[in-house]
Amino acid sequence: MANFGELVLVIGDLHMPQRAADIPAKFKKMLVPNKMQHVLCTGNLTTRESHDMLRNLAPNVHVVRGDFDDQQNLPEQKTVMIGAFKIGLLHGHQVVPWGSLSALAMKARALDCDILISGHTHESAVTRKDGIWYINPGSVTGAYSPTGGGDVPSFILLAVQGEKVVCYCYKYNEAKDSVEVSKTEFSKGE
Amino acid sequence: MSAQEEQIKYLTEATKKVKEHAFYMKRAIDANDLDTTLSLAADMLRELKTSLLTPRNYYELYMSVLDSLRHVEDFFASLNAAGTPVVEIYEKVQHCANVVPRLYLLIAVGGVYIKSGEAPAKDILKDLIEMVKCVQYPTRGLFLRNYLSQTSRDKLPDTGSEYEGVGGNVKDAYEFVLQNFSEMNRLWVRLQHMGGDKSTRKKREKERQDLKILVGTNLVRLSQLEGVDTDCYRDVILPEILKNVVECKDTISQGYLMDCVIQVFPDEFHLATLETFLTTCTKLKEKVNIRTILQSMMNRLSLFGEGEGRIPPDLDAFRLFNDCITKILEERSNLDLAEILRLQTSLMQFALKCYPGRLDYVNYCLGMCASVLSATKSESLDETSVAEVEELLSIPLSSLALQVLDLQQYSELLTYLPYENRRQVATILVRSTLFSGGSLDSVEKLEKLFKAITPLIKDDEKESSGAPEKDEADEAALAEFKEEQTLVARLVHMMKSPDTDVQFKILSMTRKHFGQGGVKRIGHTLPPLVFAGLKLAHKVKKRELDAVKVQNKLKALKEKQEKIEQERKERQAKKAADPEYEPPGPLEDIVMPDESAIPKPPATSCRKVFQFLHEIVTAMAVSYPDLSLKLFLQSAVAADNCKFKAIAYEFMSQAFILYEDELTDSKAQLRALVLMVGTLLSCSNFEKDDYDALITKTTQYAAKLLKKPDQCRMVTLCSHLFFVGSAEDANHYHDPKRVLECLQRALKIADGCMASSAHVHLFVEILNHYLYYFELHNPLIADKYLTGLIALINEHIDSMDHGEQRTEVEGMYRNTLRHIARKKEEEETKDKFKSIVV
Repeated sequence: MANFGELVLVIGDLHMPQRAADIPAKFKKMLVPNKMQHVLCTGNLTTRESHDMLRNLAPNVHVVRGDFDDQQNLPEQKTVMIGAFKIGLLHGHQVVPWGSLSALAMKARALDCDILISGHTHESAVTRKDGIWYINPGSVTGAYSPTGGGDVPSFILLAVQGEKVVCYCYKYNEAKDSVEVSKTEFSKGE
Repeated sequence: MSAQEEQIKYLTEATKKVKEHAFYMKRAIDANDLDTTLSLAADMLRELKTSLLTPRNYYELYMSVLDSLRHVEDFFASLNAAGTPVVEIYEKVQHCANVVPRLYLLIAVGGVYIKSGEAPAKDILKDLIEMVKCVQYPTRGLFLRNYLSQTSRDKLPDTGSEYEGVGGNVKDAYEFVLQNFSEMNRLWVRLQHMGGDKSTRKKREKERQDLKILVGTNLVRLSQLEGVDTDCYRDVILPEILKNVVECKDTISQGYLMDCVIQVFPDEFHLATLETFLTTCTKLKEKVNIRTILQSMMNRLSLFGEGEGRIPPDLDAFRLFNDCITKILEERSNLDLAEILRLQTSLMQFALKCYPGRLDYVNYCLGMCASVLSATKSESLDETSVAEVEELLSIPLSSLALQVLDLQQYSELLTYLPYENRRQVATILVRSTLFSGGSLDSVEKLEKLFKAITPLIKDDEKESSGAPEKDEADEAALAEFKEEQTLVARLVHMMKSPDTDVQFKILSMTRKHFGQGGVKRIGHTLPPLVFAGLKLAHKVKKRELDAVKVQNKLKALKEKQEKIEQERKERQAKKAADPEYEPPGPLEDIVMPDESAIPKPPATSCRKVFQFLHEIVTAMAVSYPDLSLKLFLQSAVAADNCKFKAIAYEFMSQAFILYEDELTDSKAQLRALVLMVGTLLSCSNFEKDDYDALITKTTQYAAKLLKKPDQCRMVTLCSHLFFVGSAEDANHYHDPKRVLECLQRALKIADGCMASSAHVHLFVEILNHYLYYFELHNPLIADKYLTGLIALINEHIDSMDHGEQRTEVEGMYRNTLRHIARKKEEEETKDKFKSIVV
């Protein structure tokens, strides 16, 4: 197998069982233990079972608190060093207007990070602005969102190798029962 | 001396003698002395005459004798190879005085005799099988015959064997084995009746169990005969075996041999003889456990059915098994309820595996159980029967899932179970339903499902409550309850009717059922229903919009049609007045679409769906204020998205009421406020007055938070409420003055946080907001404010204590200044930013 460096699963907004019954079976087959080194979760696991599932996937699991998470012990935000990157992680409902890059930029400056991961909108995206990468894994269950996002289950996998990142964005196409992948590559300080 | 010690003594003595004789016998063999060998072998074999040993110990002795007897066999073979005709040895052995040694030696020579080809195999075999008849003592006879069976194993004139032809054919082979089998079974049965009173019966039974393999080996031999095909098995072998089984009238023998038959013969044979076999089952002794026999036959056939083979369509195996079971139930009075249920369960399992499409079979088995249960007089079932019914109802779930609800008898049977067991079955039913992935798309289907899983949906009126009481609940019970409710919650996402009207009926009906669940359940079950309702609202809205579009199109078509009609009339009038008149061209024919093809507007309006949601969340509000507030906010965004300003406002105000009346915890207040601000910013269709009222209220809440840093941050966040969208947007809302006021107020609060030295952090956060609005071209956010704030931060940052807090602030500040520096360089922004002094 090719050396992908450190594999980081970026996942969130599961909202089970409130908004979705389960993660798509096609995704479940991909999300198996002993593949990833880190899991970064944008929150809204809402149940213990979901939490345990993530904990089984990788040795390093970081979870922040989503707007529908009841566990008070989860942090609102945190930063994690992986490879040469300082990664900021938060759910995203705290940053208004929701999904605004200019507003998220303030958060990125506050967390002093190279990559800012946030969710909440249920729409996956990989965007660059003013030297910072903004990553949104979407909702892995395709959970409903009243703002019109959601419906398309998605998650993101980062392969971090020193100063380089390859970012794979997986989307589930329900009509075709297939998984679509798109790829973005970037380096630190680009 | 105990019986056991006695046994050991006998065995040791006998074995010692065997070894002694064998030692001298081997010396005689080495000396090539036939007469001495025979005499010493006879001495050794005489030990097998004993009747003192238990079968197990007799077996030990037999094995050590056989060990040495091999040398004699080899010796006979070598004599024959050297030129001595076997018939000579055969004659000589006949002179041995004792019966048992003589017969063993005869069999040993017999083997060599067949191999030599001096006489036809069938004749020798017939000779031997006749001679061994004279040993009638069970243990001795069984072992002697076992020796015969072993020695003749590779010398039968089976089809394809070297002894076929002159030596006979397969008929001679199987007749020989069958005869031996029949005699051995008789000896084995007789062992049971070897004197003794009732107390020795158990001991005898145990001894017989030890010996059964000797009898069964004959069946294995039969199954190994190449020449025995299906026809031969059906016409000769099986009838002969079964005749012995039935006629021996012995419980142990019948049970063992029937099972042996199932295990040793191939599937094809069983399929060809199933009826015969099952008829025999009904003729067995009462104490024989027929269920295990039938079960093992059904398992065997269903494994075959699941594998590459298929049960031939002309063989109605289900009916045959069922007839057999029916007959047994009629004739046997000793079967208890649990055993009857077990019989039906295994028949049902067979049907599920071998006839996957035949739900009527499953229903039939369930029905049989139901009628048996209804016939029992007692009020409640015994524990074993309850477990059996639970098992019976759980088994079909893995393959049928929701389809069980189409089986009339299924629900009927459920009523026989106590609440707790029904709850277990219900849990499996829900799991299988979720696993099967089918959709719950009709009200009828759901009614049936809810009826079947009632123990998960609500408490039992009579018995224990399904939801654990808080104070007495142990953690495990609570976890189990949570798990069950999570399963029920997941069911909601399988309710997927493509017709929005049906979907609404489904959700309404579900709401009624869930509503009966009590406070503990609704916290789990109602939220998913709210989200399903919100999803539906968007769909209904789309359907309404589509319907309007279609109606508009139809209207336009109709108008055009009328116009053309009028033109036609005018032309006709012209033609009537002037026959020379030529119309300018043909008129277009408008074909109106078929009524049935026109999509109908939904019967349930989007507005009605929102009313439904409002009612649900209101019902939860008192028990779950925090969650309900969030659900109201979600509903508000959805309503705004569907362009219902008033409804969105109503949802918002309900959330505000909850905030004011129910949220007392300052952390909960902070979290709620953040969401309220975000929600308001996501709505873009409020009436201006409504929006003003909402944001004014929100800002007031922010200013009233308990902790100063929280106040500061929330007032900052609220500034966003006054600056929504860009100036080009139709729905933009810009109040630059109020933005500035918010930020200035935040600065003032931050200034008051000096004691906790959180102020510098807050200053930098506020600076970032100034910067944010500066970039968004808020006309009142001027460069001077930025310059001033930067100077203020510079002044305070140096006085901060060194530590984590300072590092954090410095990082954020550095990034902010770097951002300004970048903007000063970029072409589009450098003019705007040049006046900011860093």
